[in-house]
Amino acid sequence: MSKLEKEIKAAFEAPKPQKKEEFLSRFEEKQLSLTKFILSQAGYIGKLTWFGFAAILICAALSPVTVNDSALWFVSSLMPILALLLVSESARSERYKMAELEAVTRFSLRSVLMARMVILGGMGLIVLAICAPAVMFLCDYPAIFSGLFVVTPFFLTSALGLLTVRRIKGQAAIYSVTAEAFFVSILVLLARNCPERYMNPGMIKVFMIVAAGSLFLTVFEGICRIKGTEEITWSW
Amino acid sequence: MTSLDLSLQYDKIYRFCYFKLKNSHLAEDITQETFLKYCEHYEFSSEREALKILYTIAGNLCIDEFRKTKPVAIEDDIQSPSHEDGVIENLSVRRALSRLKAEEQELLLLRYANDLQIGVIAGILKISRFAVRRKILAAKEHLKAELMKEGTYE
Amino acid sequence: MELVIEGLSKNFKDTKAVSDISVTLHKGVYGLLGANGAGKSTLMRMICGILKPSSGRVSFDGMDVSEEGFRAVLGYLPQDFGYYPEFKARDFLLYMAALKAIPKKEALARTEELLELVGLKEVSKKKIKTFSGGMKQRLGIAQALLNRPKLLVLDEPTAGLDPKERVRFRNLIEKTGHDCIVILSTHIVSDIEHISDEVMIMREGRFIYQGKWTDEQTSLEDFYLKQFEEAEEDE
Repeated sequence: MSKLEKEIKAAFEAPKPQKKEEFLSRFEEKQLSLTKFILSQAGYIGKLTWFGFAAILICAALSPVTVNDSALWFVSSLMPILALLLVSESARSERYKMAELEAVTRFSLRSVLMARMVILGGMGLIVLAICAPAVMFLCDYPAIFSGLFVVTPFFLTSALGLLTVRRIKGQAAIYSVTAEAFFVSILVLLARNCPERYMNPGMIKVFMIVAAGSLFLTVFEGICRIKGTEEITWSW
Repeated sequence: MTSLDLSLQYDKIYRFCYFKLKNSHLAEDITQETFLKYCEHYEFSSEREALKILYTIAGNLCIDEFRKTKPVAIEDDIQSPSHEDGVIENLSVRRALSRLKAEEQELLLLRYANDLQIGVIAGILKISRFAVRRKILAAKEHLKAELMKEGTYE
Repeated sequence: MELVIEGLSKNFKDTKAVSDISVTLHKGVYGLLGANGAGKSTLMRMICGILKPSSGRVSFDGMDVSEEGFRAVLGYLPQDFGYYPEFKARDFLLYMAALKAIPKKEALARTEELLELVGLKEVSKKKIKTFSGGMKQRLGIAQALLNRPKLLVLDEPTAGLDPKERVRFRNLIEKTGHDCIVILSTHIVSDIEHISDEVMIMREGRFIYQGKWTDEQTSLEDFYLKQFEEAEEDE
């Protein structure tokens, strides 16, 4: 700022406000912040989802001990189930016909959906962050394969799931997503039977592309969903 | 409000209202009313939107206040010095400023005292960014001219 | 207090669900009458900002329908709504209150107040699963009133209510209409006969009548039928 500009700033100084602190403390009490809202939405996430999340985490954690060398396959096949749980939960408003009511509030359906997806996405990432490294270190297969094998089914299912819930309405969407999840799970279990086919260097590239593509699609569909909340409330 | 530093904005809106009303008590009352009104209708807007709305509400409330009572500068205000140092220099800038048009003074306040972005000022005054820049330059030139008249600007 | 609707239209593929509706509403109760499929729900959804119009504008006291400020003064009861499975009546209202950004303390007080108002106080701790259609509807009306709306939009609010509940509902609306704009839609004439200040009759997406009516000579039912006849004659 030039000297003149500084002087202009000083010239506009006003006498100190007298009642500022009092007002602000009263005022801030009344505010319901966005973070508080997101946290409060966490309380409304279905019990089944929390239960499934905990169960999958525990199973995955115990797998190196219980199922031993099959741990990788076991954990990988759980990933689509996790994605299914999270995607279904995100479609709560549509399933229970609350979308219209939520759309017409101050926070609006958009915030609810966003809060939900942030929480559920966070849950998904927590599981991945724990399971992928665990599997990479504890399994006999090359680390990069193990990691990709855990991450890819998750994002593949979530991408397919989010694509589906945007295009199919109501309970039918949930059935579709369930079918998709089981389909991916079965793919994983099939791969278990001939690991050499999938665990060769040539396939790394394929996996990475599928994983990256699925991740991108997941994020993209998620954003489109939040932006296009009108599609959710209107079912013609 | 989610995206604003309330304490900082309180001071800025207060400064804005004081400039318009020249009465510190009234300015503070209007400042508080502005925040309350804002919260009735808006809470989760972006920072830019929030600023535009706040200044618009404050501006309208000041206009209403003028229509109701013609606010008078009060004793306390005139006597309390804002700065200990550089008082004399500041005084001449203040005098020169007071000779500018109200519109020019407001622009300089919004830009340099309250540090608002050009885009936000454009939104508040409902003119283009280009016009805002042009007018601010013109106001500064005008101010310089007034200061030169006094012989205090080099 | 003014709701301004200008040139509102909605087209779906080749049907014109709503055609060029323009009206300005002030405090009071407005009855939106029309057969099923006349476009009432579509119009209401556009007024609430749920559905984007093909053309036209809706604003309340200068606020456009897309603004947060508009939603802050709006209360809406859709034709069909659900609830999260484990919700009890009170949970439902507290959930909606949170979405309407009502601070916790106030939400608790308001919830009790409204449960009392719609006569659901005794069942406030019961799961909504166990409610009858009429009870659910009353709960829906309660949630619409949570934020003391200045604009209350009710889509077929008397569907599923028994005669006694209908009367109770009418009284409630009449009271509310003193301080805000109430728009209620129905295809049953007697619902709004006694409580509407103005009536808007809709047919195939257009208003075929809009204005006050007095029950001095004809009943609203005859009046309603007459409008249809006249509309047909014009065709």
